[in-house]
Amino acid sequence: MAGTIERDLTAWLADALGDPGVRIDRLRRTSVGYSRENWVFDVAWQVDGAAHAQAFIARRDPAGSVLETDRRLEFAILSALSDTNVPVPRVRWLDADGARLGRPAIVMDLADGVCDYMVLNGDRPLDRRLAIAHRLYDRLADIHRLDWRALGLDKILEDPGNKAALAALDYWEAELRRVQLEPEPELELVIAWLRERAPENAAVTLVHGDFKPGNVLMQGDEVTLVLDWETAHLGDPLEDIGWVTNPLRAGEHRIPGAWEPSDLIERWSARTGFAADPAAIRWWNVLANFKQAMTVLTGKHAFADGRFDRILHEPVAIYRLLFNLIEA
Amino acid sequence: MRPTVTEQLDGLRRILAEAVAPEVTAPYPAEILGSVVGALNALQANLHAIPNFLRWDIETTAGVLDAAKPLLGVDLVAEIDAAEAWDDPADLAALETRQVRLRGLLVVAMPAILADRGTAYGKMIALFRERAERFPFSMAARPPAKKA
Repeated sequence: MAGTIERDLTAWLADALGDPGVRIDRLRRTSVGYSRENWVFDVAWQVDGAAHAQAFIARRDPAGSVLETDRRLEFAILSALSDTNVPVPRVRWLDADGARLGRPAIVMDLADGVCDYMVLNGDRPLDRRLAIAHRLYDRLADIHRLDWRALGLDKILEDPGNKAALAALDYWEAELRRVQLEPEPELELVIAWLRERAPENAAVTLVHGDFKPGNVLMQGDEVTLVLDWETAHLGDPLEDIGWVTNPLRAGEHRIPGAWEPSDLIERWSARTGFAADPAAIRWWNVLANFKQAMTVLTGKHAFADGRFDRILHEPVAIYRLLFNLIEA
Repeated sequence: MRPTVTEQLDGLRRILAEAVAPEVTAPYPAEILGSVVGALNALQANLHAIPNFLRWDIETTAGVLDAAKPLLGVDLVAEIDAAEAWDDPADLAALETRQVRLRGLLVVAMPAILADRGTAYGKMIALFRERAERFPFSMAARPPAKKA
């Protein structure tokens, strides 16, 4: 497989960089990431006799995944954010229809840094971890403060108006219908609960969709890049707040006794100026877990189709949490 | 029947873990191989619990549907009655088919159950909570811990 992608990447980059003699070295697929194939590699090329060398990463759609998203949108969003105060990877080239690599792909600069999903509960002293938490979630607030119309994101993303919750529920319910292998009465119960209580949103912002310590790159204690924009969309900023305060992921987002969900919400609210309605956040907590369950079901579906390399089972641990959240 | 199904699964896991895994060094194949070994472990550990789980799930779901019958139309009740007719409880494929059918009927019956919030609702929530505890597999197979 690596031989084929090396040949195809070389041909693509020869065209993109204008050097038929372009050379790719140390191509390898990293094990990180359940949704996209990540291939990292070094490239050497020449322009007007001058030698250049750089490391890149290609993110290609897998045959099957826990999440099915659009590389064209991801490329457009990253391009739009390139000159904002939200640090994002520099995107270089897009293979929107898979003409180059067989399946849709993006090539981006490979940046230095560390991706540590447990950085808030790692070896650093508490004061440094707390400072990292502040920087991390200030980046999330900065995403919500972006003027998405001025960035042209309204040209490529749908504005749900004040019905962001219902739009999100409709989307994820349609995903359930698309991938479910069998009846899922537990999730039908959750859908009914969500539909009865969908809040109206006061604001529409860019929503990252999967913000977490594992989706940022760090150098030392600094957050240098926000990664993995494949689920970004326009919606209620409380969707991201519901995601990062989801009890299921508390081990990643919370520092017990020092950085609780209430601290995160208070700081985010002060930085953005947005109100944080507890009932709405609870609704988005429930949807966050519905989405988590959906990634498992999507992976089960892809495995049954022979397109995914991991066996997943019914997400009963998420169901237990959902029953508690909806007080069933 | 020797090797038994358990012995075969254990042997396959051992071959992959001891003969194949040490030679696999590329990160992605090594990670996937680890998850395959973990899945074989989980299958071996839970194989014998599966028929009992399916029988419990079928009987308890049927109990919820029985309680819901006063809330349902005659056609749906007839479908439930037909689905509750028992085949061979030792046939694993038949158990799986029946489980899917009854859970599908529960989805159809759910709007009436939710509107009523009565006995059937209480039984349904109890089913969901206990089912989550009894389910024989965890969400994702993990590679086994390395032996010292």
